Amino acid sequence: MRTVLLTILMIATLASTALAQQEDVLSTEDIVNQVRKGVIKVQGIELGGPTIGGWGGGSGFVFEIDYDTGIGYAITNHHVSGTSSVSSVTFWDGAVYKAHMLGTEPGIDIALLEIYGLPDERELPMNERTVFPVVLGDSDAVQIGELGLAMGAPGDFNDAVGTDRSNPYEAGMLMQTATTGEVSGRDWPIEFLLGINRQAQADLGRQYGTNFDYAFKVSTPINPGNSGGPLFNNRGEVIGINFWGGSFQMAQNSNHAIPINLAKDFVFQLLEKGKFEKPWTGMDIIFPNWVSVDEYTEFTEKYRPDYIEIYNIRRDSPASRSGLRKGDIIVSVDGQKFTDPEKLRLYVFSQEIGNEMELVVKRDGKIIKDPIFVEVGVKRTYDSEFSV
Amino acid sequence: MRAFCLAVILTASLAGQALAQDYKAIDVVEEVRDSVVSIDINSLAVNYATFDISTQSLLTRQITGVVYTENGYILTDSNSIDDGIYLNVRFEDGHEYEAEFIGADLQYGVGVIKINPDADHDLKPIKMRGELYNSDIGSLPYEQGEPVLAIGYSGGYGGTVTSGIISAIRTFRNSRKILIPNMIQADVPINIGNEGCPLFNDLGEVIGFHDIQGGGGSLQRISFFSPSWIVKRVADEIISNHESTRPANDEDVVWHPWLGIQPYAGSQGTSGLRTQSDDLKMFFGMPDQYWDTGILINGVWREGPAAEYGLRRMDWLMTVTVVNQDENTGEDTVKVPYQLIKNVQQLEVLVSTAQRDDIFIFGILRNGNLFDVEVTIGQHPAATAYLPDSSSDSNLTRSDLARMSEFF
Repeated sequence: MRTVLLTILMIATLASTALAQQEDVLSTEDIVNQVRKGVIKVQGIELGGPTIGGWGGGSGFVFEIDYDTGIGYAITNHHVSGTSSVSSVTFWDGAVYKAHMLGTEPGIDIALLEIYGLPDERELPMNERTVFPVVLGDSDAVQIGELGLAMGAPGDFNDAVGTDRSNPYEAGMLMQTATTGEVSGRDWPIEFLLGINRQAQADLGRQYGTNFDYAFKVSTPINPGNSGGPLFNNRGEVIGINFWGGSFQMAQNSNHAIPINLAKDFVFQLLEKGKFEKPWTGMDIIFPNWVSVDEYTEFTEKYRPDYIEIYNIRRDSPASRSGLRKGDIIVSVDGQKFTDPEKLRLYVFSQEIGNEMELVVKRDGKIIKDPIFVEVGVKRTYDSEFSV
Repeated sequence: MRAFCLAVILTASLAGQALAQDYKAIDVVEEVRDSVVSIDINSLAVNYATFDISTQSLLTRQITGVVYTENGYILTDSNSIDDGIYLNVRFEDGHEYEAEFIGADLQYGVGVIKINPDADHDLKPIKMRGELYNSDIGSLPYEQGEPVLAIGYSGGYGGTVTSGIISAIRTFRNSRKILIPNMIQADVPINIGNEGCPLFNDLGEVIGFHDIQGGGGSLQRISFFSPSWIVKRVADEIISNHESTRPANDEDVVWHPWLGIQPYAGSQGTSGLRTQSDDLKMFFGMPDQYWDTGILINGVWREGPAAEYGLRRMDWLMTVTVVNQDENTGEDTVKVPYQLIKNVQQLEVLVSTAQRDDIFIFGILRNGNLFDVEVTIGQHPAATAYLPDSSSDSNLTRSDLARMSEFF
């Protein structure tokens, strides 16, 4: 009898957990209904034209609204609006608001926008609100094979059905597109070229300097214009930010998203402190090559050295105070050997401010016996993005 | 022990319910598989270098169709299906027929062919959502995010099933630049051979037919589908015209509503809607209470309905009411209540969803005077050009047809 009771209990608990999971999971219609009022189209407003090279902006999502001031906060990509201080933001119903860029980080390709003048809709029932923020999820818990539902405004950059983009009939027409697929990979390394010139930036959609190791690979279609848009899981929470549509459409269903946890650190620090403190030491180790993309690739293959040379030290920086000199070659950092300057850049980026890094350097062909300690400081706004 | 049995039954029934609520693509495919056909259009390719008949080769184009009626009408894509020297229709269960071309409408992308099924072969027509366009979005038979299936002759592999969701529902131009409300954008994979391929919802009903790929195919999984209500209307007209025994007249042309006006190239509004600039309104002396209203006519088509009922170039269309007169009783019923015309697209949608003999009552502004003009909507003059064996009696030149695309 006891065993029978035990079995009943077991079955009951199993059934209840199964049901609980069932309740959490939404159908695709419900997800779209729940989140569409937080998904926006973003267009950077730049001097001398809306955007570089005729790119028509991208997407984004509102994740927090301060109803007292009417200010909403939205996340988008650096390469969508990171180079314009003011952007225009369009919601699902066609309402346009002005947005101001609070901060941007090309290394993880994320920009934070502040949207002005949102209506105070606290008293209204859910279905009558015009703006409703999305919920941020936990991208560490994402498993391969999960649903990835992307929303955004793709195809806006050129004629969608062979029509003229200058024709006002067709402008802005693919807003609020929802596409589905699965998360097909985790922790993919993303390395975009650094230090390429402005023309090449336009060719690559300005994704210069983006470099991190934790991208999601998704089978969800990501087209030009989806950039900055949210990727939802089956509970309607944001797990990623769509940012790159595969090998420029050469490969099928091989698209990329930034995990939302990477953005959370940046965004919440920016909101709490009013600024993002980027870990920085003041070494110039990545040489900006003012050449075209093709030449740059050739250059990296042929001439890129397998060591890291400090070709410049920034004035008044932690590196200058530590005793590092121009022309030093970095042998190891905290006991790790680095041959790729971009990997070292990522290592510094992941440090906490105030940490001390132990550098072993080679000077005039000889390794210096005593290691040099560099305290990780905060990057100043006027320092180049290419300094580490 | 009884309690144990009960628990087992309870859990089993709970699991069963959970499964029944789920959308099962396999059930939809099972239900509609026999209704989707692969069509081979076989035509002779002429060697234009030599015009030598002996070097002609057979060219086969592969498209998709669906069984529309039990007596063998099949709906498919309209594009060049009358070129074929014979049309071969193949079912997934192995039946093969030669089909006869019935009619096509290029502007709405609907083609109709007919087969004579064997006595022992019961055709299974598709179920189609045929509700007429309703401006109330809540009453749409489909919604954004809904799972959908496409079945087609993808790349020559008949009966290929692909799935996705409805990405968006838009008022959108189809491949022939007609503004159609409730066009469906879906993220189902579409390949060559899927022309005319149906889009099924989770109940196995057809809600759309493939029209065009986004970005001319350069965008990943962005496909547009004509809503089934317009396909059903056009197909029904083609079939009834084919079956009618009365001598051919204007009524036998598929209904293409047309006003014959060309709007002035307006300034771009915030959401891409075409409105007129403030400078123009100031120049024409627009009254203050109508400041956000009105579209300017740049030209009227000669012999078009607008010209016939007295609209002129440089008239402002301010308000519109659409009424329909009953043939028998002569009573007017208001179809679209009085509204201000805010942009060009608003009027275009009213025109593209109008029925035969609808009367548009426009409030117009001409020389500073506001008054009403009634226009009975008419047939597009180029519509006859798309009849299968038309004698092409319309005296439209090629440049006329090119110019006509700016009119609606």
